[in-house]
Amino acid sequence: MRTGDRITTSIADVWRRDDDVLVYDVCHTTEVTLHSAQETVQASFVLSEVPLPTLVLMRRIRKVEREARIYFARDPDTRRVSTRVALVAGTPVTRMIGNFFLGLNKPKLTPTRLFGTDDEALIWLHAD
Amino acid sequence: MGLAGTRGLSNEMTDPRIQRVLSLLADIAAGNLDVRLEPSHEDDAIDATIVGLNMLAEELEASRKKLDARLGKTEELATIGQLAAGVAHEINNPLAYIVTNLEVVREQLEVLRRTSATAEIDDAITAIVEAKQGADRVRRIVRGLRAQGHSGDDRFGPVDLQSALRVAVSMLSNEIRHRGRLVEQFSETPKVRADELKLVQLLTNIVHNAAQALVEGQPGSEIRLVTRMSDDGAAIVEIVDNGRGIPDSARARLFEPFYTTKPAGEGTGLGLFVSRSIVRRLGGTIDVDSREGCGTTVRITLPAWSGAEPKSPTPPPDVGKVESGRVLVVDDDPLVGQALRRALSTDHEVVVARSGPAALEQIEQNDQFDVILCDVMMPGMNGPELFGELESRSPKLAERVVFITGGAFGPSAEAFIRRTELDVIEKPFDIRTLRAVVAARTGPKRE
Repeated sequence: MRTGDRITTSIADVWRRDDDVLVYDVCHTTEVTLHSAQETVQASFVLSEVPLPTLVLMRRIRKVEREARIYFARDPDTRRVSTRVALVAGTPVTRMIGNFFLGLNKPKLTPTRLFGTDDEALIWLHAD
Repeated sequence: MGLAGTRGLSNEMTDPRIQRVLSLLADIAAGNLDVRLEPSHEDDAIDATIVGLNMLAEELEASRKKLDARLGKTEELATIGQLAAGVAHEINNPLAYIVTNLEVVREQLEVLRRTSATAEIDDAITAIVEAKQGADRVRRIVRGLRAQGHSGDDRFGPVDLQSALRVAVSMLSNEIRHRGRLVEQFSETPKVRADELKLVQLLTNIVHNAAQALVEGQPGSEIRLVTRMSDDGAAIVEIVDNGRGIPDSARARLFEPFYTTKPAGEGTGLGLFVSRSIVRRLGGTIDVDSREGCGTTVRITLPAWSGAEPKSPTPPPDVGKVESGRVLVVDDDPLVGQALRRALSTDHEVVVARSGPAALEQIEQNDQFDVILCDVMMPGMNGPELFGELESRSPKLAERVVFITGGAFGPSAEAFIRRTELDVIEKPFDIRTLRAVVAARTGPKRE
């Protein structure tokens, strides 16, 4: 569903901020599947014709399917959408998922980092 | 740490989830990787540990499945290799007596022609020459098959690159013919330092890839085989196809094991990986130039053979009149024995034994043999075992052994053949080579 410049998928709200940062707010689920990951990334193509710095608010995610992690780490779709990705993990479980994703799934196509707050993440996303 | 911290720790230690975490860890340690735990809704350190262990088990399980699949594929390839070597051995034996008998018949027809030349005799000789060409093609294919099954240690020697290429192409002639034409551009190249079977295996892999890259039915499709010498004296072979080419995304991963761009079931993903490891063992280099839609060039550079020519059982073709000698042939295939008797009995007395013990029996009766032509693979006592027995009984007689082999050795026989300094003749043998090897031991005709 698209309202103005905000898209709602089965797992997240996606929008483009005024400072040209793409935001994935994963607020509709605690579990990310491959299907929902693809649906969300592909839905966001309409928000920009060029890749943008991307902020991912992990909220209360408790599980990300292995296939979904591999998709985020290696699929060229992610490069079409994002120039760099900041993961914001505010809970022990999301920090574990984020660290695991960076350490074992090793996203290769887009620089990706893990942060504890939105502010820290945005500073990095805006840095040259 | 204050009291509160101690209490927190104590609470965590008594948390019933701890027991579940420990149980999950025990499962993972025991290799039960399909077990998962559902985290609670606390979203605390224990839940994070559970989520982390779940993901770890998931990754380990995926890796194990991948490894199992690769192991299965490797075992399958090893089995195919052993089968190929076995088939090669089974073909080489009958091929040996087919080729030998054809040559004997040709010689007898030549003698007849000298006394009564007729068109029928000429036709028969032509037919035999053509049959021998067919047999030679089978020999090359079998040699290629043996190369695919060859996994033993390297036997380095000087190898003719162009001959090795022709053997590789013989294996693939059907596949190439239906996809495009083959062009040979051979310039003079030095012999290379290589294990011949490994070199054939390498070239077969590359030519096979080239054939598969050609687009079926596309006019002008071709594979060009180029050999030349580099400025520093190394040998270069280029296999050039004008087929599909390799996509940019695949180029960096070409030499990775189990990586393939071919459709499922067509490629093992091991061809280029194995090829590069062979080239490295030979001290050479392999480069791939490719443009998607235009074709691919694989360039292999190999160092030239710099040592002396090894002792070869191949003598000058015409050995002239030879001193008559006594030859013992030991081969479990009676038709090989018969063919050898036929080929050698014009000049020598030939005794045929069908096993190691039968040979020892013959030797006990009369050990005056100039040459012992001995098969390697025989049931019961094999060639190397017979040789060992001879060494202990009569070392001088043991020195007169010449091994004949169709391949497919067991590990011990293979190791023996690799280190022996005795002559080894490969089946199917050339009749002139065989006669010359025998003549070298009986000597020229004393007038």
